[in-house]
Amino acid sequence: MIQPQHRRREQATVVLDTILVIVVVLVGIQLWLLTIGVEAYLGQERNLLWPSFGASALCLLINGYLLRYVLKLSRMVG
Amino acid sequence: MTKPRLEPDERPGMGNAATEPQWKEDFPIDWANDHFIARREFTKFMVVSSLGLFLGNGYLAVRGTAAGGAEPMAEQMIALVEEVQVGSARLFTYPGEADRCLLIRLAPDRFVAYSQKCTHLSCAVQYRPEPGDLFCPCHAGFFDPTSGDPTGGPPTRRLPRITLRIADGRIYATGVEV
Repeated sequence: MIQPQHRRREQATVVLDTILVIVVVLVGIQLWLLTIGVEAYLGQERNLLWPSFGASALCLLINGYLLRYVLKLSRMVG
Repeated sequence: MTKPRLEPDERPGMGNAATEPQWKEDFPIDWANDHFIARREFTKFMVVSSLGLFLGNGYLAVRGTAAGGAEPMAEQMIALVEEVQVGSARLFTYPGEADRCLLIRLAPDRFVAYSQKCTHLSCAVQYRPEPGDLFCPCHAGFFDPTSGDPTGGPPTRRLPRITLRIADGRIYATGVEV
């Protein structure tokens, strides 16, 4: 007999897996943006520095929101 | 397709569906809980990494903007006008001893100077009067000697230009324009 709490955990893990994939992709994009930033900085191309920073900030915001959801999910499943 | 049913192993400590070892009863592991917590902690770690990457990008943006203005450099005499023939080039170092540059005389009254470092992968560019270009032999990069702009090959950025001042038959380097 599967406990309801156990089942909830299993379902939450599936949701968490999906979120984790999104977070990993966003971190990968941020890493790519950092390489663009380093290249722009070394090449003194200032027009690329702030857009890459802005895009990185957007990724962080999404990641922060997802983490907040994960913590909420964690409290929900007990 | 059905899995073959395993016969219960009667040896002590070898668990099976029929008889679980005692330690599993004493210290049960909730795998669903374990997986959930492991993923949650990894997500936290990734978000902290995301914060680190964001801060790194911000540092570069601030530092790159702050260092944007042209720094005043010391003026340095690099050659006499008569030493450089029309259509020829002369090597000099500016602003540091390791910063090699090319002074080119395009016309009797026209001098230009550029950093010798290719903007692709920092090989030394050469002035070729016959085709009239600056050539990087490493990956066949070409630059326009009148402006320093890339005209072919892998480079996408122009060569840093050395600003010049000519007075009393002497050529002075006065700064670097990136």
